[in-house]
Amino acid sequence: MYAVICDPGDRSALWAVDRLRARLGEVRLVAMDLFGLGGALHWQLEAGAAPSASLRLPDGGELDTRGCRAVLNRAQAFPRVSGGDADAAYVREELAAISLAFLAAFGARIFNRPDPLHPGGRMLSTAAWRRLAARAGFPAAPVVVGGTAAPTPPVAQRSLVIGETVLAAEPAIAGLSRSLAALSGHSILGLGFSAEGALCEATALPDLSWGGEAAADALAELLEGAR
Amino acid sequence: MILLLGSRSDGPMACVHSALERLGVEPAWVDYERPLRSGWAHAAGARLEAKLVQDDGVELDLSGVRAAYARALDHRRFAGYRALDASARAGCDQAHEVLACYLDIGEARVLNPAGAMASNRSKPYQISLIRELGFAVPPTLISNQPEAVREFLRQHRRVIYKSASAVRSIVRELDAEALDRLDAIRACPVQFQALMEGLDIRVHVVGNEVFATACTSPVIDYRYAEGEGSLSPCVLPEDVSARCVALAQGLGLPVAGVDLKRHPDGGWTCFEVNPSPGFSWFEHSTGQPIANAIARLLLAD
Repeated sequence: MYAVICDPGDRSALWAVDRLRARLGEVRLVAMDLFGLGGALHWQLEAGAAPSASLRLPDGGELDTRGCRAVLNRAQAFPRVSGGDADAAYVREELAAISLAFLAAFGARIFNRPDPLHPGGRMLSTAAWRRLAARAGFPAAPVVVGGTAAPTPPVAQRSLVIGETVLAAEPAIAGLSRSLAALSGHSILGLGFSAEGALCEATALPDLSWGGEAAADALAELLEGAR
Repeated sequence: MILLLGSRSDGPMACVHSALERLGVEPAWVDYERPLRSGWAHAAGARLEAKLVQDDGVELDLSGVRAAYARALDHRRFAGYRALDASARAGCDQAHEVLACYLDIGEARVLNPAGAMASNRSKPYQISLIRELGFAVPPTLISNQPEAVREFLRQHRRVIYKSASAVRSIVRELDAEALDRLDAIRACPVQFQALMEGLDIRVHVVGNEVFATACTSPVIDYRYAEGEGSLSPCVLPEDVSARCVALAQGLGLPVAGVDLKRHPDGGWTCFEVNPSPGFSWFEHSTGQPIANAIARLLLAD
């Protein structure tokens, strides 16, 4: 069994679920908010063992680290908790902490790996992405915070990194994309470039459907090869 | 230039400021009690320029910052910011965006980087990392099912509970009174840990330096001993000391407060790593020169 964790409105994730089911068989769709809806939840760490975790789903099924081979992580936010009082704020923090530990318990079998600041993976600022590209010796659009400056050039070409697969029109863009994914530690990465090939934007939650069936093949390969 | 980020009234910040002065260095401040007016940053290729305008109109050029010590990360929690009107808040927010950008991508040594400090937002996530970095950690269960917790208690005999997030909570034992209220966990999962017997040791790691303090207390959470506990400096075995340094480095934290338990059988368990330790309480109680070590780390090449 495989799982895709996403928001119900994430059309790109739903696109991926359909294609992964055709390629891999059972793929469970799990919304982040389920972590806060009272289904039986366990996260356990015992001496000498890696953490294990399980969550009972509304349909009676279960998402657990032992039975699920790999996870496509499209989480866009920690579980939502309604209310503005101190108790709601406390529960919000607790559920964020617990859901993060839960996702991280999949170890190297979740793509992208969750980050303490974002459940869907490490989110670098635009400035940090461009700085990373510049340090790697690649062109990047300037970054301005405050003040006035020329606007960022529009995105003229895109690329999509999924595991070892890079979908890009030009070899130079593919090389930069592969380097940035390796430098940032992302298995899945979407990038946007100016007409001159300078990095403009990057995201750990790209539109997967942009890559078409080749992207679906790469996702299936990534999940199937997870260890 | 050395930059201090936080409140001048914060104990650790004041200690580091004094230590820098003793070393002949007058640090620059971004005092969160005095909201910034505006900021500006520009990065092109490897070049990065950034400036802040402080509340008195004086400009602070961040290009000259070689190292920074940061204790407070959210400026919006301070009274000075809350007293601003919407326009002034927008300017202050932008200045802090500039500051965050500079600390994130600039060349300055930052104690500690914001991204590394975030591991403490989830204690179970962090103890997984601590385990991977070579320390024994306490058996831990997070659950919203009372029967699973009772089974965990049967297995480990004595169990404590505490928050899973960075929200501060008093560590308490799962006693008869708490067991009576156990059904409440169905509303929100709670973190439980096997109670580990032994002596609490707080280890402050500063770069490669280690300051260990034994914390005796009649209550489970020594921070709340209310005068009945004591803090005294102690010496760690070399291998434990080295593991503390490796742990802090592995978590990307040049300054860290490592919470250990030394067991009667000589074993060691690590509970948590505080990425922004309030070390001044320990320094005042034991005389350990922790602030001086931080000041020297800020000034190191």
